[in-house]
Amino acid sequence: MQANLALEQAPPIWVPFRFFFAAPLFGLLAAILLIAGGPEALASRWSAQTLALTHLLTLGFMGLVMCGATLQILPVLIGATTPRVQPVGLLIFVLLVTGTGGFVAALLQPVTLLMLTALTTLASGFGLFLIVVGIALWRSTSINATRTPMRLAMLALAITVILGVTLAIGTIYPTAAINLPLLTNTHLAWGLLGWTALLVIGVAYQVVPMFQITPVYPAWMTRFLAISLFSGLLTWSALYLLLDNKLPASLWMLLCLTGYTAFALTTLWLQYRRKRKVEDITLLFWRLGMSLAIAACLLWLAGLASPELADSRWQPLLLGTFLLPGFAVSVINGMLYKIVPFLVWFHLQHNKLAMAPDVRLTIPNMKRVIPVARTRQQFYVHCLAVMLLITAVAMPGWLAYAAGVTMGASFIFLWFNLLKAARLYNQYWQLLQQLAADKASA
Amino acid sequence: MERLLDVSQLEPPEPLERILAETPQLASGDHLHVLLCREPFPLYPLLNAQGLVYHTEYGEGGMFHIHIWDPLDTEADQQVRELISDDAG
Repeated sequence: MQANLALEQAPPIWVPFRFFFAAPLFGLLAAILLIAGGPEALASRWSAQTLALTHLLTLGFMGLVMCGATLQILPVLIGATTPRVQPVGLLIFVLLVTGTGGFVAALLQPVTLLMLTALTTLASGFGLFLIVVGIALWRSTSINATRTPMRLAMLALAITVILGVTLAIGTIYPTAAINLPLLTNTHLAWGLLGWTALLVIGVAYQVVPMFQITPVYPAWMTRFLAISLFSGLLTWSALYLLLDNKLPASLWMLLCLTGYTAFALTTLWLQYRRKRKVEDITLLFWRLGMSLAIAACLLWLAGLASPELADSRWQPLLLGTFLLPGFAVSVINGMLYKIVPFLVWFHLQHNKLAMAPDVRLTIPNMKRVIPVARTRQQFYVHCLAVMLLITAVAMPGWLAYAAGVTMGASFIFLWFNLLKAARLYNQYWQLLQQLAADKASA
Repeated sequence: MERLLDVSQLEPPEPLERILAETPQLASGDHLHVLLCREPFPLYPLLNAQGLVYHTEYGEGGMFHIHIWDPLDTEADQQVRELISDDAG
């Protein structure tokens, strides 16, 4: 029997919240960079501006949300406790935020010392994160389809970070031993298809049926997909890096993409069959994300069939647009509208039970934490931003500015929606403190 | 006496809300038997905050059975322990 569960199994609300609040600000910086750079920022995947923009989204927005959510999700979904989560969470946050800022600055204005400092900070932040999460996952004994994909996602993150650091050092100190284009593609694959996709898959197994009231994912998928994709990525990496002929690697990647497409199609199918047909904005974000993930797979397939397409300027940029703001940002943005209201509800409920259990105070329902109308409006702005980005990549020009402005508006909108939730939490928290003080003095 | 509460078809956080609405109403000798589709990890600290204890079992068809009771209620405590040892046997 389990009697007393330590409070560390429910991390204090500001442990994940500081990650969630900082993330959209990095998204906003990416938008500002796009506005400042205009079409030049989308001219080539190798330009400093594009790399900076990419990493503001991947490390800044996606990375911070995924790390904050992982620290929160582990106890909630699989009962895995993170050791000393409060001080460790704060340290990870500081290292990742300063490291990301320094790294992007060093991309735009190359200064060796700045880059090396930023790399050390980022590696330390991710290293600490992986250690504490690794301990938590190792401790977890829950019967749960999420545990294996999460373990594999963390391994993929480690590989992504190692490749990224190697790449950056290879840029500062060029050596024939490091083939920058090959390593860049490998780093990209592990970051997107490894860390991001496996984490989304693992969380989806629990969260999609739970929050969207869909049937559960098929048993064959929850049991075999994540390990198959991870093994597939490992094999692809070996083929891609070691063989001069890239055809075997491409064919192997095609196999992997079949797995990702199967997951996206299954998710869309489950959502179509959901039992409660009430409006759910998270559902719309996920549908957009899954659709663009499928579009990315099809575009990659088209590139395999047509080398001319694969060598074009815009195909890799379009792939990146489908996968980053299209798939990853959409899914993560949507998840925030479930995670944050749930956390507000949960922590207020816990505080009420601990501080003023006999007081008649109704904790606000999750749906009241962030009004649905506001989340719907932000979804429309996000949609427009993604469509403009896709068009701007295909037809560079003034559309790049429009895409930047819309993307910035979307992140600002998201930030203010999260702020609404934080204000509601503070309002009830102060009320609970007052009620507890009144009760104590009575 | 066992009070059965099936919240397996409800969307979060309704299951937790329903359970937390029931737990203050547990009479002497009663324990709550909850049916859920997934293990409710967020529920455990909330039960602890109320001074309650729980026992979780993973049953057939992927259903989780959670027994919740007041450890100071000797009658309920004995009932649940007998139930658990019967299931184990």
